Amino acid sequence: MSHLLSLVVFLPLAGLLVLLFAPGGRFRLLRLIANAAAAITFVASLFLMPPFVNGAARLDASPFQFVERAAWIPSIGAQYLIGIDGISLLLVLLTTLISLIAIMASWNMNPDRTKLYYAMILLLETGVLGVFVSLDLFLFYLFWDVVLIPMYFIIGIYGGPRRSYAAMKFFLYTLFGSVFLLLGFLGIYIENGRATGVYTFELAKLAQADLPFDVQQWIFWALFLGFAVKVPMFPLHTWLPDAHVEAPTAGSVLLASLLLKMGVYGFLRFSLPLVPRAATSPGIVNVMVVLSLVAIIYGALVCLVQRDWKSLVAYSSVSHMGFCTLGIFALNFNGLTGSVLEQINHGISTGLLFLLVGFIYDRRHTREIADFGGIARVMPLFATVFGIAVFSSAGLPLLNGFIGEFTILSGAFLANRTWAAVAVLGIVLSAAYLLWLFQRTMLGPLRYDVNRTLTDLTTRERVIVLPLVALAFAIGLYPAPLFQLLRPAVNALLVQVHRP
Amino acid sequence: MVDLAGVDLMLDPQHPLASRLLALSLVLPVAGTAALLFGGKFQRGKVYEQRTQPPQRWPGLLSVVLAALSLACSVTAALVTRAGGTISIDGGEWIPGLGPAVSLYLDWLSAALLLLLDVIGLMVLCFSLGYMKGESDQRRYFGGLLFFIAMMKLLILSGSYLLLFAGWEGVGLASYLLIAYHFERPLAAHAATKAFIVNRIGDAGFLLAIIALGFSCGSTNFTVVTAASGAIPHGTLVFICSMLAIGAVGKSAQFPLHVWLPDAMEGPTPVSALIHSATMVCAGVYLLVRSTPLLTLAPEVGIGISILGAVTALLGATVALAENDIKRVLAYSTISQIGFMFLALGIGAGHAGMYHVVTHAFFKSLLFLGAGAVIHSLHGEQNLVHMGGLRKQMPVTFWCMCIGALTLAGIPGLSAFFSKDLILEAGLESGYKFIAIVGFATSVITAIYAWRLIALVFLGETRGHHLTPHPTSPSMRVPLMILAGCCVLVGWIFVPIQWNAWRIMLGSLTAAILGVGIAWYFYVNRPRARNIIDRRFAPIEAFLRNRWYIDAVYEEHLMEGIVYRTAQGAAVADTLVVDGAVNASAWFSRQLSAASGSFDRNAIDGVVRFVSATTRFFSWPFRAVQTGMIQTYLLIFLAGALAALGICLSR
Repeated sequence: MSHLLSLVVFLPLAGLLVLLFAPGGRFRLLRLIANAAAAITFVASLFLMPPFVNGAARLDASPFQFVERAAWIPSIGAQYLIGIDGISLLLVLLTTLISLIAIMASWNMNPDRTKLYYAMILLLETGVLGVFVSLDLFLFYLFWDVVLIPMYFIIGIYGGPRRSYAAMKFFLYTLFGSVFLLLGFLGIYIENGRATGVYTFELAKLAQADLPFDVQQWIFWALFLGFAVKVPMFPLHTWLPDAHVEAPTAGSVLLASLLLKMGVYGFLRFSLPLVPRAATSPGIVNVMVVLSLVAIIYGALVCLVQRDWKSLVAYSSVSHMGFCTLGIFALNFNGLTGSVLEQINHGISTGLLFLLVGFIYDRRHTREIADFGGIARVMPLFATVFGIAVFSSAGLPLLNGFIGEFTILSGAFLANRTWAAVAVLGIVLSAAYLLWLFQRTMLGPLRYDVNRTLTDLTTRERVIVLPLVALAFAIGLYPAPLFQLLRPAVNALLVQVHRP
Repeated sequence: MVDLAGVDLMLDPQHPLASRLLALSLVLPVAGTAALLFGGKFQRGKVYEQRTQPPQRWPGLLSVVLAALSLACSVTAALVTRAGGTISIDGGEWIPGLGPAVSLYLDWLSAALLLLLDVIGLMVLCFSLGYMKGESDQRRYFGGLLFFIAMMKLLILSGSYLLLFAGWEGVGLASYLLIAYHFERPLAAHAATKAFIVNRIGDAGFLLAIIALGFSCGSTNFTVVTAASGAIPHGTLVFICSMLAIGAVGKSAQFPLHVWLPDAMEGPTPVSALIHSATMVCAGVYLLVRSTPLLTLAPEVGIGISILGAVTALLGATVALAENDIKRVLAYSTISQIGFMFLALGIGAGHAGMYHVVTHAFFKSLLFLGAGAVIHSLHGEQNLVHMGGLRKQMPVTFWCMCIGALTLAGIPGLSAFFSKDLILEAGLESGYKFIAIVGFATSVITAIYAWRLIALVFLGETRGHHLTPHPTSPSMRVPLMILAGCCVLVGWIFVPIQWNAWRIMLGSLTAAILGVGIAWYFYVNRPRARNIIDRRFAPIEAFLRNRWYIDAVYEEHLMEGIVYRTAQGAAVADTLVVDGAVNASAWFSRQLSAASGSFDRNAIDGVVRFVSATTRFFSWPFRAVQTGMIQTYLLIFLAGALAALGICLSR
C-alpha cells in the first residue's frame, strides 16, 4: 500500500517540526524552511495524478485511489481512513499550490514572530489537506477543527486594526457551526449503529445506512449549519468580509481559495451521500436553491457599493459560492461537475485578486478604492494581470471562470429553468461590479501624486502570479481533461444520491 | 483517461487545402495579437511619464502585413464555397456536456462576412497608420485591432453556438479595450465599462438560449440544430428565439439596449469604423440569420424583432437628425440602419438583411473613416457647428464622403439602394403596413441627416475653426477611395433585384431625393429658414437632442434610482440586519454571561457565603476560646475545674 497520500498530507506538518527547532531569530532560515516545505509538498502532490490520468477504466469501478486504512480508536469505530477521487484530487492540488503561493507572497513580511506565522500556515495546510482526503467522519471532524486554530492566529496576530474582533468572530462563528456538524455526525453514527449493530465512522459504510426520512432531515440541517457557515451561505456570511478585510494577504488568499471550499466540499462529500433522501427532497432542495440564488444576487449587489477594494472582493466570494451551492443542489451531472470546477476557478481567480490587492496595499497602505485611479499608466503590468483576474472572475469565455459558471447554469437549467434565469443575472452583475472596480482603480486620470511613483510588479510578484494566470488560460481554453477527471467521481456520487 | 486526442482537428476531407487556409486565416491575427501585446517589454522608469511607450512604426506595419496575408487566405478559402459548397473542420469538445462544439464552418453566409471583415479590417489598419502616427501605445492599439479581427473571425467561422459565444464575448472584450484606448479620459473609461455591461445583459439571454439549444438538440452545432429544429417543442422554441433575440439586441445596439453605442464613440475613430459600425455590431444580425431555421418556426418572435427593428430605425434616424457631434450622428445612423436589418429579419427576409449588412459595412466604414480624416485634420474637433467649408481643403475626403452619404441616403445606382429596396419590398409583402410605413419614413429622414452631415462639414462657409487643417496622408486617402469604389460597385456585383417591383423602387427613389432635397434646402440653400423651423418645433428638437430621454431615464431612474439604491439597501441591510443579528446574538450572549456571572457571584456564591457567614457568626464564641495558646486553655481548664469544685462543695 502506498503511503504517498499520507506523505502529502503530513509533509507540511514535518516542515512545521523542522521550523520549530530552528532558531527563532534567523528570519531568512525560517523563510527558507517554510517555502521549501510548501514547495516539496506541492511537488509531492503532483505524483498523485498518474492513476487518474492513466486508469480511467479502473476509476469507473471505484473512483477512490491511494486509499490508506489503519485502526485508530477501535473502541468507537474510528479509523485512519483516507483516499482521493477526482474531486478530492483537484482540491488537494489547489491546496498545495495556493499554500505555496501564500507562503511565497509573505516573503517580505515583518520579521517579527515569523516562526509562528509560517508554522500556522503549514498547520493550516495539513488541516485543509486532511479535510479533503478523509473518508472517516471522525478523522474529518478532527481536521475540520484543526483548520480553525491557525486561521484564528493568522488573523488575530498578523491582521489589520480590527483583527481581534474579526478573528474572534471567525472563530466563534465557525465553531458554532462545527458543534452542529459534530452533532449531526454523532446522530448518524448512533442511528446507524442502532440499526446495524456496527458502530463505525466510515463514510462508505454510513452512506449505505437507509435512515428514516425524519432522521435524515434533522441530520441534514445539523450538517447544513456546519457547512453553510464555512461556505458561507446567505445569511451566515457576515464573518467573511470582516475576516477577509482584517487578514493579512496570505490569510485572505488561504481563506478565499481554500477554507471556503471546505464547506462546499462538505455538502458534496457528506451531506449528499449520507442523507440522500433528505438532500433530494423538494423542500430542502428549494430552500438550498433559494439561499444560493439570494447569495448570488445579493452578494453581487452589495459588491456594487463597497468602498474598500478588499471587502468588494470578499463579497464577490459570497456571490460565487452561491453558484457552487446552486450547482450542488441542481443534483445532476452538470451541476455537480460545475460546482467543483467553480471551486477550483474561484480559488484561482479570487486568489489572484486578493494577491493583487495585497501587492497594492504593500505599496500604498490603503485599500480605499477612491485613493486610486489611473494606475494602469503607472503599473501597466499590474493592470494587465488585474484585468485578466477581473475578466476571469467575471466569467469571460476562454478564461477559467466561464467554464464553471456555464456548466452550473446548464445544470441548473436542466433542473429548473427559473433557477438558471435568476442565476444568469449574477453574471451581468459580476461584470458590473468588477469592471466598475477596474475603471475606478486602473482607468481615468491619475488623481493622486502619491501614486505617480508606484513601482510595477517585481520579479518575485510576477513569479507568484504567473502560475495562476497560466492556469486561468489553460482551464478556460481546454477544460476537457478536468471533466474527464471528474466524471467517474461525480457519477459515483450521483448513483449514491439518486439510489432508489 | 484524459484524452489529448480531443483537440486533433478533423480537416474537411473534401477541401484539405482550403481548410488549412481557413485555419491559417484565423491563426494569423491571433499570432499577431500575441506578438504585439506580449512580445515586447513594458517601459520601465522611475516616474510614470517615462513608462509611456514612445511612438513606434512596426506594430502598425506588422498588423497591416498580417491582415493582408489573412485576407489572401480567406479569399482562397472562400472561392471554394463559391458554388454553394461548405468547409467544416471539427475539433471535438470544448466544454463537455452540451455536445462537441469546437468546429469551424464556412458557407456562403460566413464567407461573405469573412471577406467583408478582412477587407474592411485591412482598410482600417492602413488608415490607422496615418491616423495614429505619433501616438504612443501603438502596440496596444494595433494589438487590440488584431485581437478584434481574430475574435470576429472566431465568431463568424464557428460552427456551433457555444464557440460562437466565445467569439461573441471576445469581440466584446476587444471593443472594451479599444473604447478605453484613451483610458485616462474619464468619458472613455466610463463608455468602455458601460458598453461591456449593457452587452452583458444581452449575453445573459444568449447564454440561456445556448443551454436550451444544447439540451433540446443534443448539440449546439448549427448543422445538428438545423436538423433537429423541427422536433423542439413550440414553447421551448419561442423561449430560445426570444433569448437569441435579446442577445442580438444587445450586441447590435437595438432599442432598448442601444445606449452603449453612441458612448462607444469615445474610442479612436478607425475603431468606430471597424467595430462599432461595420462588423461587430452586425454580429446580432448574423446570429439571427444563422438561426433562420429556428426563427421561421417561431414567427411570433420574428414579428417582435421586426417591430423592435422598426422602432430602432426611427429612433436612430430622428436622433441623428439633431445630433451635432459628427461621430454620434454616424453612431445613431448605425443604430438606425441595423434597425432596418432587424426589421427585415423578423419578416423572413434574412437575405435582404444580410445584403444590407454588406452594403452598410462599406458605406458606414467609409463615412467613419472620412469623419476620422476630418477630425484628424481639425485637430480633434468633432462638433458640426464648428466645421463647414472643408470641401476645398479636403477634396478627396469630400468626394468620398459624398459617395458614402448618398449611398446611405439610398440614391439609385449606389449599393445601399438595392439592399434597402429589398427590405422595403419585403416589408410591403409581409402585410404589416406599420413596418412598411416606418421603413419609408425612416428612408426620408435618413436621406435628410445624411446630406445635412455633408452640408455642415463641407459646404457653406468656414465656421469656428481657425486652425489650418492637417493634410491627409496617402495611407488615409487610399482606403477612403477604395471603400468609395466598393460603395459604387458592390451593389452591381450582386443585383438580386426584381425589376418588376418598380413601384417600390420608385417609392424609395422618391424618399431619397425628397430627403436630400429637404436637407439641401434647409442646410445649403436657405439656412435661415432652418431657424424658423427650429423655433417653431423647439419641443421636438429638445426631445431629439435628449435622445428621446432614454439615456436620462436609464441613468437617473434605472441605474441611480433602482439598481444603486437596491445595492445600497442590501449593503445597509447586510450590516444592520444580517450582521446586526450576529452582533446582537454576541451581545446577548455577553449580557447573558454577565447576568449568569453576577447570579453566580451573588446568588449561588451568596448562598455559599451565607452559609459560611452564618457558621462564622455562630462560631465566634467558640472561636474566641480557640486561640491556640496553651496558657488560655490551662486558664479555662483551671477556671472550669474551680467552678466544678465550687459546685460540688456548695452541695
